[in-house]
Amino acid sequence: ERKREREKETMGEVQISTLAYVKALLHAYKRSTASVTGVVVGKLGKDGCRMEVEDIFPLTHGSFLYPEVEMALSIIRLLCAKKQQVVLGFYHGNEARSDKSIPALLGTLGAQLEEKCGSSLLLVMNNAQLAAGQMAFDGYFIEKGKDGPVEKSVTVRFASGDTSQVLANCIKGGAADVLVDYSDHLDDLTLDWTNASFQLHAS
Amino acid sequence: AGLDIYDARIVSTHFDAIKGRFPNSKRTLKLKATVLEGQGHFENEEKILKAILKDEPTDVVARKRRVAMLKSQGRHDQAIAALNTYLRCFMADEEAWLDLANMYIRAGLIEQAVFCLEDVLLADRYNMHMFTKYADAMYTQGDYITAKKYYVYSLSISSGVRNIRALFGLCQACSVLEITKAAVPQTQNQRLFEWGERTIIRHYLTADKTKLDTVVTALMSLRPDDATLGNSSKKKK
Repeated sequence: ERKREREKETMGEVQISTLAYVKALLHAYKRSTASVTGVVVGKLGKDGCRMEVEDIFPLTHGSFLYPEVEMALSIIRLLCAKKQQVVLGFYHGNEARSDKSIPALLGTLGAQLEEKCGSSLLLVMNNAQLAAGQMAFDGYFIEKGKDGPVEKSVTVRFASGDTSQVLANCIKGGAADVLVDYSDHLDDLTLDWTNASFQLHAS
Repeated sequence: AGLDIYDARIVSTHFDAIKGRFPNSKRTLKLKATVLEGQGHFENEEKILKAILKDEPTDVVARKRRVAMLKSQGRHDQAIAALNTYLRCFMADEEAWLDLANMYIRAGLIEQAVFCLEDVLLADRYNMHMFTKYADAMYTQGDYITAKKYYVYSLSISSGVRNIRALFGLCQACSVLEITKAAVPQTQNQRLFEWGERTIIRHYLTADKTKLDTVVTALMSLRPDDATLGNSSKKKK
């Protein structure tokens, strides 16, 4: 724990927008009996802020393998280019409530992304922190190590606003029901997995 | 159902009713173990399951509940070991093989996941989704030739049903094989890629034209240099 805290001091921090935060948690809320995985996108930051997470693309629920993720990433990169955004990494929520571990394939994907793009973020859901009304994600930068991917803790902060209330309003408003992930889209191509019409319920 | 959404009132009301009606039933005892798991009382749950299995070692439900308990606790290695032990006795349980495959995938042990998926395929020979999943596992392992074969097989048993995962997987596998110049005839990769691409485009034209441009551009990015495709380098509209 102390080692993680020391790491956080040197890693800079990551900011996450209300939109990205709420969408990722709605994905987890909708698929509460399965693990969830998605891609985080945004901009590389400056002045101590290493990354600004602006949006997310929900990918899968349950187990995943490379082909689905690779195809989705190809499409996401094209969509990001239109908005001057880049793929920053992934978010993941485990199946069990107290599980904060990182699946092996996700670590490998993160390391590959870091090799390609210079940095790779992984946000892992922490349900204890979510229940306490704090930041629901533990942040890690993933790097390729000698014996496999290496995770280094990083602080994740809200970019702005009262996200807890927005999240609660979205859940009450049924926003989770209309959120679609890439896996849902492959089952029914008429569903929009980019969630272009998604809106936050501010009040 | 109450446990799935964890509504404590539904769980306690209905469990009390069942316990009142069937106080000495083993099914009631197993239900109690499940309730304890939902409440996070894993030690008490383990005691009940151990007692049931001591009395009846072949109780399938109790054995599977023990695996679920270990998964709930995040003891994934022990859950894998327990499910392996179960499958040594009950090797025809297709659902258990699939569950074990997913656990191995989570642990990044794709070779072991492939072994489990092979048993699922033996039991379910006409399930295109399982053949696609097997091909995905092969692709993840880096065996693109076998992945391509199984994507093709999955598509051949689809019988006209949309099988978009296999189509994308086929294009991806053909693309990698073409780029790495694997020991297969080039024309086969090109033809299969183009067939897969055309079929995907046809599906998107029917389902959602707004996504078509992005998907076509993404598929184009999978193509190696146009020069290697010979005459078939024209871009699709």
